[in-house]
Amino acid sequence: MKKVLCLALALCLLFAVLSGCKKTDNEESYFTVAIAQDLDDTLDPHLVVAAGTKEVMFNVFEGLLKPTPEGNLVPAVCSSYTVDGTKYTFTLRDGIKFHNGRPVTAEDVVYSITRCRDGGYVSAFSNISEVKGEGNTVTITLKEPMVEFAAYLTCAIIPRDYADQATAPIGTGPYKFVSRSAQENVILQAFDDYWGAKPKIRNIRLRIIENGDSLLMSLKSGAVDMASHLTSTQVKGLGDGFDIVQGNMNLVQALYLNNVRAPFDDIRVRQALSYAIDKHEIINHVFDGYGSPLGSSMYPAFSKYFLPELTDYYKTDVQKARDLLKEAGYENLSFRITVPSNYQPHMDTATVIVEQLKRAGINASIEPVEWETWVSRVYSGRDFETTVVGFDASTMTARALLERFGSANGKNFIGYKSEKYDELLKKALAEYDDAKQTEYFKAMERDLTENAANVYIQDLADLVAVRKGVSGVRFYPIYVLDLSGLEYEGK
Amino acid sequence: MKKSASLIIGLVLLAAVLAAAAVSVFYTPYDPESFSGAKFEAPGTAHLFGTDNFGRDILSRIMKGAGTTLFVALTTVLIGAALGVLVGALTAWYGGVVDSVLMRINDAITAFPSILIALVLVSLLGAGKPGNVILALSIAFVPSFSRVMRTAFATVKNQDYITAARLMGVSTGRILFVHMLPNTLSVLLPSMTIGFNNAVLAEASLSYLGIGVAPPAASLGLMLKDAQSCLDLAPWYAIFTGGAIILTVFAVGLIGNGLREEEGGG
Repeated sequence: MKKVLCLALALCLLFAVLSGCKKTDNEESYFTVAIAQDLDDTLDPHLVVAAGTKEVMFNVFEGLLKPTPEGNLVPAVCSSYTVDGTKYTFTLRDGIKFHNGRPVTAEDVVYSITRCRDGGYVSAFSNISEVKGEGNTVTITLKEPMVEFAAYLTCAIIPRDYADQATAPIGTGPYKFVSRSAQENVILQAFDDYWGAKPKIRNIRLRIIENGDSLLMSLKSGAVDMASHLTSTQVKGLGDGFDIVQGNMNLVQALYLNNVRAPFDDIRVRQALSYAIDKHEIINHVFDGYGSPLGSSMYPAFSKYFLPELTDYYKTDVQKARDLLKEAGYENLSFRITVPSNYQPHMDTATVIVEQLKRAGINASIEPVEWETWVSRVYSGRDFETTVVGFDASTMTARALLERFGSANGKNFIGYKSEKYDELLKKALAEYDDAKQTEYFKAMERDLTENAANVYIQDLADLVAVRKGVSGVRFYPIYVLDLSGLEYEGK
Repeated sequence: MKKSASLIIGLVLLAAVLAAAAVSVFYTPYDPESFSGAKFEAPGTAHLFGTDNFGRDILSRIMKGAGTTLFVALTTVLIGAALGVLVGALTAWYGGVVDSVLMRINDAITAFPSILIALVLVSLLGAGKPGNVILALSIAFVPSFSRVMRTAFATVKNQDYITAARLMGVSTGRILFVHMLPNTLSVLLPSMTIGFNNAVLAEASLSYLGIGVAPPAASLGLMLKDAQSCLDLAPWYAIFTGGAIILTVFAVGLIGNGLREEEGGG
């Protein structure tokens, strides 16, 4: 009797397992993209803080304007706009709809902009004195002129009469949000009434895979079709079957120096470090040549502001480094490099830096810390000697990268102080003319390099693996994952 | 007295590992921290165990790393055992309130996995310093020792010669550590060998989690962590590093077995 029961149970189990193998038609048509973290933050586009959530929700939301891969801003929710001093006038796009099918009205735009201003979600919006909607035009009046104001208008436009934005968001983007299973996946579907070019791939499943090794297995087994932010080692292990597309992470990785603490308050010491550290060797050795060398706090995706000649301003020269240190009276220099240990690229970079500094007679040691400790002690507390991290731009403006080094800026955690820099920053922010402002920003980059504020290393490569036969990966100067351009080749 | 075979084999293997670690103080084939070869060179004549993800010689790093790992494990076990003996002796001898309080604290610590306790302690003390790793692991290891030693001391306590010593007016400290301790060695030594193995693995786990020994210094755990991400490209990295850990743990395990056999046979 017992045996029979056992057998029956075993058969039941077998069926249970086999039924899992059957693929429904629906499931086959999903294109699966791996993401490294769950979207466990709120999904409300105005409240969200997690970079990983913003990165994928770029496909769901749009502002009056939206960025292009080239770094320009083009009309999205509006079809055109005019600027007259402090007055911005937007004409809404004809027939544009939210994902729930309701047409976008001027009231929705006024609601979205006002919500961000009153809630303090977009700090630049505190400069808005009035937002008015009439028919299909919206006018925004500023208190003071602000040349880069347009960059903030990528702020999402959402319906004014919808309460579930945090869990079931509704926007105007090329993909609409379908569902989310915690720790598992998020489903997106192409929005049929999208105003622009309709996405070629209809159903997208964003699968959450936190572990790098399981990600690699899932790619190889075919469970995942695309993954971004891979390391060069991971890419090597992938083998055939995938196209590797290289973009940039759009961040400034550097050995950031505490400019107010001895010996780093001495420009000769900072320059010596710049001469001793070979960024090209770091890129070749650790990152297999993937990565763009940098010489200042600006990355190449901002082509308008990027100054390639600064990259090799300090050409690696160990003897010169030794001489400078001797002159400054810091022979046998030794210091600590504090590194957030959860970021392997930064840890690996620091490992090579320690080795390179040894050649110049400098004794550096690595102090691994957890991310929270890094934020509270290094960034907020400014209690550190040097640190290897990367900084990105929160908006598509040079200001986002450069303003932080103004001596009065609260984010100036390295304590950089240059009168010339402050002067230029003031001029740049007050300038209405784009070309002149660009020149000021460029002069600020030069100032950072000449004073060797930090030892600039690189903009890390963003390696994306896509299953062969799929094309259309696009990179942006900001941290987003655009899925709307993907398509199956030959279809 | 006939020496047990496992004791001899264990001692020989451990001696080999210790010798490699000792030699690394004076000599390694290459500087363990310098990039002496290309990335991921397969094992060969130039680099006997191949090179790692930075082009560093794996053999040199295993020698150096074994030293770090063994040092951490040994001091951890010594500190843990010393504290454990103290707690075990006190609780067994005095009983009552002392026993209840100390053993309940003990229970509280045992309630958490030892790795978790060590993890919290290291985060509090500051990661990346071998001293903190040793301290954290020792504290995490105390409960297992004190529990075993309490039982051992309690058994010895009721022996006639202890009663005799008490009647003679010998001081408590002397009774505990001169008269009783040697008679608990049959329990202490095997648990120390087991503890040593756990400490080797715990150091490896802590470094593996990125909060043990700070790079570029080598430790077996840290190396195994690096090896995992390139398992496909350089399987030798994981094999040799893991092999070194297995060899050490196996050797000490054999010694522990041998000691127990001797005890039983002799």
